[in-house]
Amino acid sequence: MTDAKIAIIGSGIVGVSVAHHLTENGHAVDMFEKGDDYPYPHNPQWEDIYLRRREAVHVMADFRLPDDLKHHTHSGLQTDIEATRHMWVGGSSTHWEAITPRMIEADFRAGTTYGIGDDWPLSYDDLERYYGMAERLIGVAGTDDDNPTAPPRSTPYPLPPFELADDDNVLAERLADAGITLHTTPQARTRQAYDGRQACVNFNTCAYCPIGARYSPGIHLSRAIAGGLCHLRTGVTVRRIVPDADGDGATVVYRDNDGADDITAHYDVVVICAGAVETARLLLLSADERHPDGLGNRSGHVGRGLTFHHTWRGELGYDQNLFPGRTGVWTGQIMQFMEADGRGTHGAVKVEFSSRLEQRGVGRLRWEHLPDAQAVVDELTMIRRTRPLAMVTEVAPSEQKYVMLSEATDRFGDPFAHVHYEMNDLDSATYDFALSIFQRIRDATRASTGFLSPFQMWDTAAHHMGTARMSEAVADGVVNSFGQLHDAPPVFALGGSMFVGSGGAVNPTLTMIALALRSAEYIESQLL
Amino acid sequence: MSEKTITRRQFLMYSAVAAGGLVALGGGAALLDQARRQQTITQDDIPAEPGSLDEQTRVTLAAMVAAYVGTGNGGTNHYAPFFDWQAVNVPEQRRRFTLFARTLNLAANDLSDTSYAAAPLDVRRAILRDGMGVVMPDSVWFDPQSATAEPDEDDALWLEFNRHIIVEMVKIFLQTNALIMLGYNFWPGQPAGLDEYTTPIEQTRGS
Ligand SMILES: Cc1cc2nc3c(=O)[nH]c(=O)nc-3n(C[C@H](O)[C@H](O)[C@H](O)COP(=O)(O)OP(=O)(O)OC[C@H]3O[C@@H](n4cnc5c(N)ncnc54)[C@H](O)[C@@H]3O)c2cc1C
Ligand code: SF4
Repeated sequence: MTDAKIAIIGSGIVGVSVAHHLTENGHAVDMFEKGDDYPYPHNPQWEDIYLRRREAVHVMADFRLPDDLKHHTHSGLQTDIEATRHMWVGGSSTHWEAITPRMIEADFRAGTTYGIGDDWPLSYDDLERYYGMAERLIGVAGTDDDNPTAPPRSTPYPLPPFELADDDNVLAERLADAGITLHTTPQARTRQAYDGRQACVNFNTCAYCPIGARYSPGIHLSRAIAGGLCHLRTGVTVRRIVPDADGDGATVVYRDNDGADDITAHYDVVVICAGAVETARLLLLSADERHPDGLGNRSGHVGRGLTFHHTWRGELGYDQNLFPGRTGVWTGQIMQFMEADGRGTHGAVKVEFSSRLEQRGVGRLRWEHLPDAQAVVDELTMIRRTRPLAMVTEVAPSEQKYVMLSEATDRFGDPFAHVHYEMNDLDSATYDFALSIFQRIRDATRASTGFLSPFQMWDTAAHHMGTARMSEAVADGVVNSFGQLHDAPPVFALGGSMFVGSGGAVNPTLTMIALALRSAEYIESQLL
Repeated sequence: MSEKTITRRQFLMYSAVAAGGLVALGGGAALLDQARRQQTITQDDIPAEPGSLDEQTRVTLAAMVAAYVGTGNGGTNHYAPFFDWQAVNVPEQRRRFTLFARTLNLAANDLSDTSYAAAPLDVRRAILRDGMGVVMPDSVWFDPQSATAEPDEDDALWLEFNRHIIVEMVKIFLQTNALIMLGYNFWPGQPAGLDEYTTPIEQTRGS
């Protein structure tokens, strides 16, 4: 190992943000990543998929960890979260959509204002400066000029916004007549060249950006490694964290994925950035005599506050050709329903109503159409007239949503995570509210057809939160607002796990980065 | 969407019409079927292991794609890297592509005395359509294995081509040329520039 005093577990966007801040300020870090290297910019994957036309699932499978290392069990959950947990260098945000709004002020006070979950132990004002730092780090393009719901900001967006699409403008006008504002989307894509990254040229393949215009943690990770202060170990699984009895530091117990023996390394500070599910798992796996229920779990909160953003997807069909999907960048969003009257009787709703290709019709084609290319195309004309949309919703923690240890074990004999998840009355009321918004949008835009998926058919939007929540009082949570474990101060648990509930209906990753930068500053000033 | 289903026989008739009378229907059996039955395709010299495609196979596959997609519509050069990669990396694919090309060439030879690549477009299309008819019409396109009929020996070969070559070609078509035929200027993967999506599409045409 190195003489680094800080260990970071997980090379995702949160771990990389911490590593970036600390290495920029001269501190060496050791980073442990369970998965293998994953190239970014995505030229190799992109060439496979868009030049050699290999299917993306097969390309990803080349890099994916085997099932005895990457797995979870679940009950009550109808949706597959495994597909959204990327375990390789860069973590899940190697493939994120890079939508990066800030939480609004009320989201930090959802408990007292709306009776949804608890308040956060910090306010929007506490985090505002770090939001700005996060936006500059990943290069967010945006404007608040067209978004009446955007919270106040002290620094401008580092990049100008991606404009609404031509077809958005047609619909935005109709929505405006009905009092609904369709506005641009803040996103971590280079509207112009930025910080060594090329400007986006609209390949429209953003899950795989061949030029690095869409932010991915690989950008700063490779710089930190090149700077000589970040030492990345790939293909290693951290199995336990053992805090010193005197509180001076902690030992990381890990194993090469193909190894037979544990290896240990001692650090002054250990920062767990393993994603919300694996962070809870690692804390629970770290149970010992001093922490019989798991590390950080004196309050019993580890794993307990799990939330996703339940997301219902639909589409709207129009009589006129709109030609949506001529870009891969995100265009329209509607955030005004995050502050709607009645929040509390239901959750907040954010609408993603972007100009995107909807190729659902392709799946309905039957073989008899295929011998003639023109006949195929005739069957697909709805693509020109159809716009997909997603209703992303707020979720409150409940006793029926949690992560615990599974009976199934990984190749080292350690239990996998088990996710238990049941929908409740609030979720159902939130769906009803989302459906009513969908109907308003449908009518306002004069759609001739439309459907929204039924209540049971939701996905998580790949947003995993709340499993090691922040609290002021030790009894109410796992970490303080800096992500420091209440019962093991040299250990931090950062990322979505820190969230108190789901943080409203806002895509969470910008907030995770802002919190991580705040924690990194704290670690530097208080512990190093 | 049309609910009409087309039987295999109707399919062959359409093929015949499309081929401009080149294919005669006798007693319900297509000449194409007969051509397949009467001629044998040499297989022994096709290497079993993955590897590069020979030139004739490449040219035939390109002609097959062009017959399917038509001219214009964004071009068809982007299919070749897929065939090449599969031939080298996916077990059995080099053998299949080579056999497929030989089958197309035999049929073309029988119908128009030329190689497939040199055959008139309507002949190339007729051969392709006839072969693609070897799947029951009620099967969903991406899973031709759901075809309910037991294929006879002649059809088995085309069934294999359909499962492993044609379906893949159609998938590429759907992601690329189909969008151009629908009126889009670009398909995902082509750098379109950011003005593309903010400009009304009719204003982008001809520019
Ligand atoms: C398709 C997709 C689209 C998305 N779009 C958006 C979006 O538009 N906006 C948004 O805000 N969010 C989006 N997200 C969510 C976003 O990607 C996540 O919030 C973010 O990746 C979380 O970052 P993280 O660093 O906390 O965790 P992760 O990305 O999960 O990274 C954690 C890393 O830790 C490693 N690890 C775990 N356990 C161990 C261990 N025991 N030992 C060693 N290493 C370990 C993992 O292998 C992994 O690489 C999207 C996600 C997906 C999949
Ligand atoms: S649209 Fe922009 S961000 Fe997306 S893949 Fe293309 S260049 Fe990258």
